[in-house]
Amino acid sequence: MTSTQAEEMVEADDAELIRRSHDVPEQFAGVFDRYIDQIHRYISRRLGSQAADDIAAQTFLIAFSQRESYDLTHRLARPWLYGIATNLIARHRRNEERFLRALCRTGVDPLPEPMADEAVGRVAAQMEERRLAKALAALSQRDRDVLLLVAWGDLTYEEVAVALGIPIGTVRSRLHRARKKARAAFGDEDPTAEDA
Amino acid sequence: MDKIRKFRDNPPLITDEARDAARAQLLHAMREPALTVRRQRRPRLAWRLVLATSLAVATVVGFTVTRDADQPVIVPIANVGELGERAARAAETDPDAIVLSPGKWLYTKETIAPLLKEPRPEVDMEQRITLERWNSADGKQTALDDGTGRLVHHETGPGITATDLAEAPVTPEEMLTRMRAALSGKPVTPAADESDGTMEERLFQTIHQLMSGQPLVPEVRAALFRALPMIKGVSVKQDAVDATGRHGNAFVYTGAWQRSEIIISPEDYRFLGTYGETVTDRTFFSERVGTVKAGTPTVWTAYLESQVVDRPGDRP
Repeated sequence: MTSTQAEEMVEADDAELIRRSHDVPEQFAGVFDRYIDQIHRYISRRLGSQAADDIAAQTFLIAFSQRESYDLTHRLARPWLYGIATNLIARHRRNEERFLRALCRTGVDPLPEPMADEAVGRVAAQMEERRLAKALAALSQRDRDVLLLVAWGDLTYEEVAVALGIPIGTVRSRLHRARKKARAAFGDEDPTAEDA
Repeated sequence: MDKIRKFRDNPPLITDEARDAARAQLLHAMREPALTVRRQRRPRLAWRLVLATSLAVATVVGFTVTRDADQPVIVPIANVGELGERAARAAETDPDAIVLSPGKWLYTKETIAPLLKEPRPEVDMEQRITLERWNSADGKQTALDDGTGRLVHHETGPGITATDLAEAPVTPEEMLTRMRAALSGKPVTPAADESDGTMEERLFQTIHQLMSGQPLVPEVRAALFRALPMIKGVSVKQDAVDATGRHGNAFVYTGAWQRSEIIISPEDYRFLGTYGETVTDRTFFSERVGTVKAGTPTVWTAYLESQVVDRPGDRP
Protein backbone atom coordinates (compact mmCIF):
# COMPACT_ATOMS: atom_id res chain seq x y z
CA MET A 1 0.00 0.00 0.00
CA THR A 2 1.44 3.37 -0.94
CA SER A 3 1.48 6.25 1.49
CA THR A 4 -1.09 8.06 -0.64
CA GLN A 5 -3.50 5.17 -0.41
CA ALA A 6 -2.98 4.98 3.33
CA GLU A 7 -3.55 8.70 3.61
CA GLU A 8 -6.84 8.44 1.75
CA MET A 9 -8.06 5.67 4.00
CA VAL A 10 -7.82 7.86 7.07
CA GLU A 11 -10.19 10.78 7.10
CA ALA A 12 -8.12 13.92 6.88
CA ASP A 13 -8.55 16.56 9.56
CA ASP A 14 -9.52 20.08 8.59
CA ALA A 15 -5.98 21.41 8.52
CA GLU A 16 -4.95 18.63 6.19
CA LEU A 17 -7.86 19.34 3.85
CA ILE A 18 -6.95 23.00 3.80
CA ARG A 19 -3.30 22.18 3.17
CA ARG A 20 -4.27 19.94 0.28
CA SER A 21 -6.58 22.64 -1.08
CA HIS A 22 -3.56 24.86 -1.68
CA ASP A 23 -2.77 22.63 -4.67
CA VAL A 24 -6.15 21.04 -5.26
CA PRO A 25 -8.80 23.68 -4.49
CA GLU A 26 -11.62 21.14 -4.65
CA GLN A 27 -10.36 19.60 -1.41
CA PHE A 28 -11.84 22.61 0.36
CA ALA A 29 -15.29 21.27 -0.43
CA GLY A 30 -14.65 18.77 2.37
CA VAL A 31 -14.47 21.62 4.87
CA PHE A 32 -17.71 23.02 3.47
CA ASP A 33 -19.47 19.66 3.78
CA ARG A 34 -18.37 19.25 7.38
CA TYR A 35 -19.43 22.64 8.66
CA ILE A 36 -22.06 24.24 6.46
CA ASP A 37 -24.96 22.92 8.53
CA GLN A 38 -23.68 24.12 11.89
CA ILE A 39 -22.43 27.46 10.59
CA HIS A 40 -25.78 28.06 8.92
CA ARG A 41 -27.61 27.04 12.10
CA TYR A 42 -25.58 29.46 14.20
CA ILE A 43 -26.21 32.37 11.82
CA SER A 44 -29.86 31.41 11.55
CA ARG A 45 -30.30 31.64 15.32
CA ARG A 46 -28.87 35.14 15.24
CA LEU A 47 -30.30 36.60 12.04
CA GLY A 48 -32.84 34.20 10.58
CA SER A 49 -32.58 31.48 8.00
CA GLN A 50 -32.79 33.67 4.93
CA ALA A 51 -29.93 35.86 6.02
CA ALA A 52 -28.13 32.69 7.02
CA ASP A 53 -28.32 31.37 3.47
CA ASP A 54 -26.41 34.36 2.23
CA ILE A 55 -23.98 34.78 5.10
CA ALA A 56 -23.11 31.10 5.38
CA ALA A 57 -22.27 31.03 1.68
CA GLN A 58 -20.12 34.14 2.10
CA THR A 59 -18.38 32.58 5.09
CA PHE A 60 -17.06 29.71 3.01
CA LEU A 61 -16.16 31.91 0.05
CA ILE A 62 -14.09 34.12 2.32
CA ALA A 63 -12.58 31.11 4.07
CA PHE A 64 -11.61 29.66 0.73
CA SER A 65 -10.03 32.91 -0.41
CA GLN A 66 -8.06 33.15 2.84
CA ARG A 67 -7.05 29.49 3.13
CA GLU A 68 -3.41 30.26 2.36
CA SER A 69 -3.18 32.21 5.60
CA TYR A 70 -4.85 29.51 7.71
CA ASP A 71 -2.69 28.37 10.62
CA LEU A 72 -2.27 24.68 9.87
CA THR A 73 -1.35 23.92 13.47
CA HIS A 74 -5.06 24.31 14.27
CA ARG A 75 -6.39 20.91 13.31
CA LEU A 76 -10.04 21.98 13.48
CA ALA A 77 -11.29 24.79 11.24
CA ARG A 78 -14.43 25.30 13.28
CA PRO A 79 -13.23 28.32 15.31
CA TRP A 80 -11.83 29.95 12.19
CA LEU A 81 -15.14 29.55 10.35
CA TYR A 82 -17.15 30.81 13.31
CA GLY A 83 -14.84 33.81 13.43
CA ILE A 84 -15.47 34.66 9.79
CA ALA A 85 -19.21 34.19 10.26
CA THR A 86 -19.14 36.40 13.35
CA ASN A 87 -17.43 39.19 11.42
CA LEU A 88 -20.11 38.97 8.76
CA ILE A 89 -22.88 38.91 11.36
CA ALA A 90 -21.45 42.10 12.84
CA ARG A 91 -22.42 43.92 9.65
CA HIS A 92 -26.03 43.07 10.49
CA ARG A 93 -25.87 44.18 14.11
CA ARG A 94 -28.81 46.53 13.75
CA ASN A 95 -31.00 43.79 12.32
CA GLU A 96 -30.09 41.41 15.09
CA GLU A 97 -30.87 43.93 17.78
CA ARG A 98 -34.06 44.98 16.03
CA PHE A 99 -35.25 41.37 15.90
CA LEU A 100 -34.43 40.86 19.57
CA ARG A 101 -36.20 44.03 20.61
CA ALA A 102 -39.20 43.08 18.51
CA LEU A 103 -39.41 39.77 20.32
CA CYS A 104 -39.05 41.50 23.67
CA ARG A 105 -41.69 44.09 22.86
CA THR A 106 -44.30 42.00 21.04
CA GLY A 107 -43.68 38.46 22.19
CA VAL A 108 -43.50 37.40 18.56
CA ASP A 109 -40.13 36.14 17.46
CA PRO A 110 -39.31 37.07 13.87
CA LEU A 111 -36.87 34.18 14.14
CA PRO A 112 -36.38 31.28 13.79
CA GLU A 113 -39.38 31.17 11.50
CA PRO A 114 -39.11 34.56 9.89
CA MET A 115 -40.37 33.27 6.61
CA ALA A 116 -43.57 31.69 7.78
CA ASP A 117 -46.83 33.22 6.72
CA GLU A 118 -47.84 35.92 9.12
CA ALA A 119 -50.85 33.96 10.28
CA VAL A 120 -49.10 30.64 10.52
CA GLY A 121 -46.19 29.28 12.47
CA ARG A 122 -45.71 32.14 14.85
CA VAL A 123 -45.98 31.35 18.47
CA ALA A 124 -46.03 33.94 21.16
CA ALA A 125 -42.77 33.73 23.02
CA GLN A 126 -42.75 32.86 26.63
CA MET A 127 -42.00 35.63 29.07
CA GLU A 128 -38.60 34.13 29.69
CA GLU A 129 -37.72 34.33 26.02
CA ARG A 130 -38.75 37.97 25.96
CA ARG A 131 -36.48 38.68 28.87
CA LEU A 132 -33.67 36.78 27.24
CA ALA A 133 -34.14 38.76 24.05
CA LYS A 134 -34.04 41.99 26.00
CA ALA A 135 -30.88 40.93 27.79
CA LEU A 136 -29.14 39.91 24.58
CA ALA A 137 -30.18 43.09 22.80
CA ALA A 138 -28.72 45.14 25.62
CA LEU A 139 -25.27 43.57 25.30
CA SER A 140 -22.57 45.15 23.24
CA GLN A 141 -21.86 43.40 19.95
CA ARG A 142 -18.52 42.12 21.22
CA ASP A 143 -19.90 40.73 24.46
CA ARG A 144 -22.83 39.14 22.64
CA ASP A 145 -20.46 37.50 20.16
CA VAL A 146 -18.49 35.86 22.93
CA LEU A 147 -21.56 34.74 24.85
CA LEU A 148 -23.27 33.25 21.82
CA LEU A 149 -20.17 31.59 20.44
CA VAL A 150 -19.97 29.75 23.75
CA ALA A 151 -23.69 29.13 24.22
CA TRP A 152 -24.81 28.53 20.64
CA GLY A 153 -21.58 27.69 18.86
CA ASP A 154 -20.38 25.37 21.64
CA LEU A 155 -16.90 26.81 21.33
CA THR A 156 -14.48 26.56 24.23
CA TYR A 157 -12.94 29.73 25.59
CA GLU A 158 -9.73 28.87 23.74
CA GLU A 159 -11.67 28.39 20.50
CA VAL A 160 -13.49 31.69 20.95
CA ALA A 161 -10.12 33.37 21.37
CA VAL A 162 -8.96 31.84 18.09
CA ALA A 163 -12.22 32.68 16.35
CA LEU A 164 -12.14 36.34 17.31
CA GLY A 165 -8.37 36.77 17.36
CA ILE A 166 -8.35 38.01 20.94
CA PRO A 167 -6.51 36.84 24.07
CA ILE A 168 -8.27 34.27 26.19
CA GLY A 169 -8.27 36.73 29.07
CA THR A 170 -10.38 39.05 26.95
CA VAL A 171 -12.77 36.20 26.23
CA ARG A 172 -13.18 35.62 29.96
CA SER A 173 -13.69 39.29 30.75
CA ARG A 174 -16.26 39.77 27.98
CA LEU A 175 -18.11 36.65 29.06
CA HIS A 176 -18.06 37.80 32.65
CA ARG A 177 -19.49 41.16 31.64
CA ALA A 178 -22.17 39.54 29.46
CA ARG A 179 -23.23 37.24 32.29
CA LYS A 180 -23.33 40.08 34.76
CA LYS A 181 -25.62 42.10 32.51
CA ALA A 182 -27.81 39.08 31.83
CA ARG A 183 -28.14 38.42 35.56
CA ALA A 184 -29.10 42.04 36.11
CA ALA A 185 -31.79 41.76 33.46
CA PHE A 186 -33.17 38.63 35.11
CA GLY A 187 -33.18 39.92 38.66
CA ASP A 188 -32.02 37.17 40.97
CA GLU A 189 -31.90 34.51 38.29
CA ASP A 190 -28.85 33.78 36.22
CA PRO A 191 -29.83 32.77 32.69
CA THR A 192 -26.21 31.98 31.98
CA ALA A 193 -25.89 29.51 34.84
CA GLU A 194 -25.51 25.82 34.04
CA ASP A 195 -28.38 23.58 35.15
CA ALA A 196 -27.47 21.19 37.90
CA MET B 1 -26.00 29.05 30.27
CA ASP B 2 -28.66 26.46 29.61
CA LYS B 3 -31.46 29.00 29.33
CA ILE B 4 -29.55 30.80 26.62
CA ARG B 5 -28.62 27.51 24.98
CA LYS B 6 -32.29 26.60 24.72
CA PHE B 7 -33.27 29.99 23.37
CA ARG B 8 -34.03 29.73 19.66
CA ASP B 9 -32.79 26.19 19.81
CA ASN B 10 -34.75 25.00 16.85
CA PRO B 11 -34.06 27.20 13.84
CA PRO B 12 -35.06 25.93 10.41
CA LEU B 13 -32.42 23.65 8.93
CA ILE B 14 -30.58 24.83 5.90
CA THR B 15 -32.54 23.81 2.83
CA ASP B 16 -31.07 21.58 0.18
CA GLU B 17 -31.53 24.43 -2.25
CA ALA B 18 -29.54 26.86 -0.10
CA ARG B 19 -26.81 24.30 0.56
CA ASP B 20 -26.52 23.48 -3.12
CA ALA B 21 -26.40 27.17 -4.03
CA ALA B 22 -23.66 27.86 -1.48
CA ARG B 23 -21.69 24.81 -2.61
CA ALA B 24 -22.07 25.85 -6.24
CA GLN B 25 -20.71 29.31 -5.43
CA LEU B 26 -17.76 27.77 -3.65
CA LEU B 27 -17.02 25.34 -6.48
CA HIS B 28 -17.26 28.20 -8.92
CA ALA B 29 -14.70 30.13 -6.90
CA MET B 30 -12.45 27.07 -6.92
CA ARG B 31 -12.60 26.85 -10.68
CA GLU B 32 -11.68 30.48 -11.17
CA PRO B 33 -7.92 30.52 -10.75
CA ALA B 34 -7.84 33.50 -13.09
CA LEU B 35 -9.52 35.57 -10.43
CA THR B 36 -6.20 36.73 -9.14
CA VAL B 37 -4.79 37.58 -12.53
CA ARG B 38 -7.67 39.08 -14.46
CA ARG B 39 -7.20 42.09 -16.56
CA GLN B 40 -8.26 45.41 -15.22
CA ARG B 41 -11.94 46.07 -15.65
CA ARG B 42 -12.78 49.29 -17.40
CA PRO B 43 -15.36 51.31 -15.53
CA ARG B 44 -18.52 51.78 -17.51
CA LEU B 45 -19.00 54.98 -19.44
CA ALA B 46 -21.69 56.15 -17.09
CA TRP B 47 -19.44 55.77 -14.09
CA ARG B 48 -16.54 57.49 -15.82
CA LEU B 49 -18.80 60.37 -16.74
CA VAL B 50 -20.11 60.48 -13.24
CA LEU B 51 -16.61 60.81 -11.91
CA ALA B 52 -15.87 63.54 -14.44
CA THR B 53 -19.08 65.27 -13.50
CA SER B 54 -18.30 65.12 -9.85
CA LEU B 55 -14.90 66.66 -10.39
CA ALA B 56 -16.08 69.28 -12.85
CA VAL B 57 -18.97 70.78 -10.99
CA ALA B 58 -18.20 69.71 -7.48
CA THR B 59 -21.61 68.23 -6.88
CA VAL B 60 -20.16 65.70 -4.50
CA VAL B 61 -21.67 66.05 -1.08
CA GLY B 62 -20.90 64.41 2.19
CA PHE B 63 -23.48 61.85 3.07
CA THR B 64 -24.24 59.75 6.08
CA VAL B 65 -26.90 57.11 6.00
CA THR B 66 -29.04 57.10 9.08
CA ARG B 67 -32.22 55.29 9.84
CA ASP B 68 -35.13 57.67 10.09
CA ALA B 69 -37.84 57.06 12.61
CA ASP B 70 -40.44 57.11 9.86
CA GLN B 71 -38.78 54.38 7.85
CA PRO B 72 -41.35 51.75 6.86
CA VAL B 73 -41.32 48.55 8.83
CA ILE B 74 -39.81 45.79 6.78
CA VAL B 75 -42.07 42.77 6.76
CA PRO B 76 -40.07 39.55 6.64
CA ILE B 77 -40.35 37.87 3.28
CA ALA B 78 -40.77 34.09 3.30
CA ASN B 79 -38.44 33.41 0.40
CA VAL B 80 -37.18 34.87 -2.81
CA GLY B 81 -40.19 33.51 -4.68
CA GLU B 82 -42.52 35.47 -2.44
CA LEU B 83 -40.53 38.64 -2.95
CA GLY B 84 -40.66 38.11 -6.72
CA GLU B 85 -44.39 37.53 -6.66
CA ARG B 86 -45.16 40.53 -4.46
CA ALA B 87 -43.01 42.80 -6.59
CA ALA B 88 -44.56 41.45 -9.78
CA ARG B 89 -48.10 42.03 -8.57
CA ALA B 90 -47.21 45.56 -7.53
CA ALA B 91 -45.67 46.22 -10.94
CA GLU B 92 -48.75 44.91 -12.74
CA THR B 93 -51.08 47.17 -10.79
CA ASP B 94 -48.83 50.21 -10.45
CA PRO B 95 -51.07 53.23 -11.21
CA ASP B 96 -48.02 55.36 -11.89
CA ALA B 97 -46.38 52.97 -14.32
CA ILE B 98 -44.72 54.77 -17.22
CA VAL B 99 -45.33 53.62 -20.76
CA LEU B 100 -43.28 55.41 -23.37
CA SER B 101 -44.57 56.29 -26.81
CA PRO B 102 -42.19 55.88 -29.75
CA GLY B 103 -39.89 58.85 -30.03
CA LYS B 104 -40.18 59.79 -26.37
CA TRP B 105 -37.40 59.53 -23.83
CA LEU B 106 -37.32 58.27 -20.27
CA TYR B 107 -35.64 60.70 -17.89
CA THR B 108 -34.21 59.02 -14.78
CA LYS B 109 -32.54 60.54 -11.79
CA GLU B 110 -30.40 58.59 -9.36
CA THR B 111 -28.19 59.26 -6.40
CA ILE B 112 -25.05 57.21 -6.44
CA ALA B 113 -21.87 56.76 -4.46
CA PRO B 114 -19.08 57.87 -6.82
CA LEU B 115 -15.88 56.01 -7.51
CA LEU B 116 -13.32 56.70 -4.83
CA LYS B 117 -10.36 56.78 -7.14
CA GLU B 118 -10.49 55.72 -10.74
CA PRO B 119 -9.61 53.14 -12.02
CA ARG B 120 -10.21 51.26 -8.78
CA PRO B 121 -13.74 49.88 -8.61
CA GLU B 122 -14.35 50.98 -5.02
CA VAL B 123 -17.06 53.55 -4.43
CA ASP B 124 -16.94 56.22 -1.76
CA MET B 125 -19.64 55.36 0.76
CA GLU B 126 -19.41 58.83 2.34
CA GLN B 127 -20.16 60.80 -0.83
CA ARG B 128 -23.16 61.12 -3.11
CA ILE B 129 -23.68 62.62 -6.52
CA THR B 130 -26.73 62.89 -8.73
CA LEU B 131 -26.82 61.08 -12.03
CA GLU B 132 -29.37 62.08 -14.68
CA ARG B 133 -29.93 59.93 -17.73
CA TRP B 134 -32.19 59.95 -20.75
CA ASN B 135 -33.07 56.60 -22.27
CA SER B 136 -34.71 56.26 -25.66
CA ALA B 137 -38.06 54.51 -25.92
CA ASP B 138 -36.54 51.62 -27.85
CA GLY B 139 -33.98 51.19 -25.10
CA LYS B 140 -31.04 51.46 -27.48
CA GLN B 141 -29.68 54.91 -26.63
CA THR B 142 -28.70 56.65 -23.43
CA ALA B 143 -27.70 60.29 -23.02
CA LEU B 144 -25.73 61.62 -20.07
CA ASP B 145 -24.69 65.07 -19.03
CA ASP B 146 -20.90 65.07 -19.04
CA GLY B 147 -20.78 67.66 -16.27
CA THR B 148 -20.43 70.67 -18.54
CA GLY B 149 -23.99 70.68 -19.81
CA ARG B 150 -23.06 68.76 -22.93
CA LEU B 151 -24.95 65.54 -23.55
CA VAL B 152 -23.04 62.45 -24.47
CA HIS B 153 -24.97 59.75 -26.30
CA HIS B 154 -23.98 56.16 -26.30
CA GLU B 155 -25.49 52.82 -27.08
CA THR B 156 -26.83 51.24 -24.00
CA GLY B 157 -28.41 48.16 -22.65
CA PRO B 158 -27.11 44.79 -21.68
CA GLY B 159 -27.56 43.42 -25.20
CA ILE B 160 -31.32 43.24 -24.98
CA THR B 161 -33.80 46.09 -24.82
CA ALA B 162 -37.16 46.82 -23.30
CA THR B 163 -38.65 46.52 -26.77
CA ASP B 164 -37.16 43.07 -27.29
CA LEU B 165 -38.65 41.91 -24.03
CA ALA B 166 -42.08 43.43 -24.63
CA GLU B 167 -42.85 41.20 -27.61
CA ALA B 168 -45.45 38.55 -26.77
CA PRO B 169 -45.40 36.20 -25.05
CA VAL B 170 -44.22 38.02 -21.94
CA THR B 171 -43.58 35.32 -19.36
CA PRO B 172 -40.75 34.88 -16.82
CA GLU B 173 -39.49 31.83 -18.70
CA GLU B 174 -39.53 33.73 -21.96
CA MET B 175 -37.65 36.67 -20.42
CA LEU B 176 -34.91 34.34 -19.25
CA THR B 177 -34.77 32.56 -22.61
CA ARG B 178 -34.37 35.83 -24.49
CA MET B 179 -31.76 37.17 -22.10
CA ARG B 180 -29.81 33.90 -22.28
CA ALA B 181 -29.87 34.06 -26.06
CA ALA B 182 -28.64 37.66 -26.01
CA LEU B 183 -25.91 36.90 -23.50
CA SER B 184 -24.78 33.75 -25.28
CA GLY B 185 -23.77 35.79 -28.26
CA LYS B 186 -22.07 38.40 -26.14
CA PRO B 187 -18.57 37.48 -25.02
CA VAL B 188 -17.50 38.47 -21.53
CA THR B 189 -15.12 41.21 -22.49
CA PRO B 190 -13.34 43.34 -19.93
CA ALA B 191 -15.73 46.18 -20.69
CA ALA B 192 -18.77 44.00 -20.24
CA ASP B 193 -17.22 42.13 -17.39
CA GLU B 194 -19.86 42.95 -14.84
CA SER B 195 -20.40 39.43 -13.77
CA ASP B 196 -17.14 37.68 -14.38
CA GLY B 197 -18.77 34.43 -14.86
CA THR B 198 -21.76 32.22 -14.74
CA MET B 199 -24.80 32.66 -16.88
CA GLU B 200 -26.85 32.97 -13.69
CA GLU B 201 -24.80 35.93 -12.54
CA ARG B 202 -24.96 37.55 -15.95
CA LEU B 203 -28.73 37.12 -16.01
CA PHE B 204 -29.00 38.75 -12.60
CA GLN B 205 -26.82 41.65 -13.69
CA THR B 206 -28.84 42.04 -16.87
CA ILE B 207 -32.06 42.42 -14.90
CA HIS B 208 -30.19 44.78 -12.59
CA GLN B 209 -29.35 47.00 -15.59
CA LEU B 210 -32.80 46.71 -17.15
CA MET B 211 -34.50 47.76 -13.93
CA SER B 212 -32.32 50.80 -13.44
CA GLY B 213 -32.33 52.21 -16.95
CA GLN B 214 -34.73 50.71 -19.44
CA PRO B 215 -38.29 51.95 -20.03
CA LEU B 216 -39.99 48.69 -19.03
CA VAL B 217 -43.72 48.25 -19.52
CA PRO B 218 -45.53 46.84 -16.46
CA GLU B 219 -45.87 43.34 -17.93
CA VAL B 220 -42.16 43.09 -18.59
CA ARG B 221 -41.22 44.50 -15.21
CA ALA B 222 -43.54 41.97 -13.55
CA ALA B 223 -42.14 39.11 -15.61
CA LEU B 224 -38.60 40.11 -14.68
CA PHE B 225 -39.49 40.15 -10.99
CA ARG B 226 -40.92 36.65 -11.36
CA ALA B 227 -37.85 35.57 -13.33
CA LEU B 228 -35.39 36.59 -10.60
CA PRO B 229 -36.30 33.73 -8.23
CA MET B 230 -35.95 31.31 -11.13
CA ILE B 231 -32.27 32.12 -11.46
CA LYS B 232 -30.31 29.54 -9.48
CA GLY B 233 -28.48 31.12 -6.58
CA VAL B 234 -30.70 34.17 -6.15
CA SER B 235 -31.78 34.65 -2.55
CA VAL B 236 -33.57 37.29 -0.52
CA LYS B 237 -32.10 39.76 1.94
CA GLN B 238 -34.48 41.03 4.56
CA ASP B 239 -33.00 44.45 5.17
CA ALA B 240 -30.98 46.17 2.49
CA VAL B 241 -30.24 49.89 2.29
CA ASP B 242 -30.04 52.04 -0.80
CA ALA B 243 -27.78 55.05 -1.32
CA THR B 244 -30.25 57.45 0.27
CA GLY B 245 -30.70 55.32 3.36
CA ARG B 246 -34.05 53.84 2.39
CA HIS B 247 -34.48 50.32 3.71
CA GLY B 248 -36.00 47.52 1.72
CA ASN B 249 -35.91 43.87 0.80
CA ALA B 250 -33.42 42.77 -1.79
CA PHE B 251 -32.84 40.09 -4.36
CA VAL B 252 -29.26 38.95 -3.87
CA TYR B 253 -26.80 37.08 -6.04
CA THR B 254 -23.38 36.18 -4.72
CA GLY B 255 -20.90 35.39 -7.41
CA ALA B 256 -17.30 34.33 -7.27
CA TRP B 257 -16.09 37.86 -6.80
CA GLN B 258 -18.95 40.04 -5.81
CA ARG B 259 -22.37 40.09 -4.28
CA SER B 260 -25.10 42.18 -5.88
CA GLU B 261 -28.38 43.38 -4.50
CA ILE B 262 -31.51 44.65 -6.25
CA ILE B 263 -33.32 46.57 -3.52
CA ILE B 264 -37.11 46.74 -3.42
CA SER B 265 -39.39 48.98 -1.38
CA PRO B 266 -41.06 47.12 1.49
CA GLU B 267 -44.16 49.30 1.03
CA ASP B 268 -44.99 49.15 -2.66
CA TYR B 269 -42.26 46.80 -3.95
CA ARG B 270 -40.93 49.34 -6.40
CA PHE B 271 -37.29 49.26 -7.42
CA LEU B 272 -35.28 51.40 -4.97
CA GLY B 273 -31.69 50.92 -5.99
CA THR B 274 -28.69 48.65 -5.98
CA TYR B 275 -25.74 47.70 -3.87
CA GLY B 276 -22.72 45.57 -4.63
CA GLU B 277 -19.59 44.53 -2.80
CA THR B 278 -16.75 42.13 -3.36
CA VAL B 279 -16.68 38.84 -1.51
CA THR B 280 -13.13 37.74 -2.21
CA ASP B 281 -9.78 39.42 -2.60
CA ARG B 282 -8.77 40.02 -6.18
CA THR B 283 -5.53 41.24 -7.67
CA PHE B 284 -5.59 43.03 -11.00
CA PHE B 285 -2.81 43.21 -13.53
CA SER B 286 -2.79 46.97 -13.40
CA GLU B 287 -0.70 48.32 -10.54
CA ARG B 288 -3.02 51.31 -10.44
CA VAL B 289 -5.79 48.98 -9.39
CA GLY B 290 -3.75 46.49 -7.41
CA THR B 291 -5.57 44.26 -4.96
CA VAL B 292 -9.21 44.83 -4.18
CA LYS B 293 -10.09 43.33 -0.82
CA ALA B 294 -13.18 41.33 0.03
CA GLY B 295 -15.91 43.56 1.41
CA THR B 296 -15.12 46.48 -0.89
CA PRO B 297 -18.29 48.30 -2.00
CA THR B 298 -18.42 48.60 -5.79
CA VAL B 299 -21.82 50.09 -6.47
CA TRP B 300 -24.43 51.88 -4.37
CA THR B 301 -27.35 53.64 -5.99
CA ALA B 302 -30.79 54.97 -5.24
CA TYR B 303 -33.41 55.42 -7.93
CA LEU B 304 -35.14 58.77 -7.34
CA GLU B 305 -37.34 59.72 -10.23
CA SER B 306 -38.39 58.81 -13.74
CA GLN B 307 -40.56 60.79 -16.15
CA VAL B 308 -41.41 60.89 -19.83
CA VAL B 309 -39.79 63.75 -21.75
CA ASP B 310 -39.68 64.72 -25.40
CA ARG B 311 -35.98 64.76 -25.95
CA PRO B 312 -32.71 64.11 -24.13
CA GLY B 313 -31.73 67.05 -21.98
CA ASP B 314 -35.35 67.86 -21.04
CA ARG B 315 -36.15 67.74 -17.38
CA PRO B 316 -39.60 67.22 -15.85
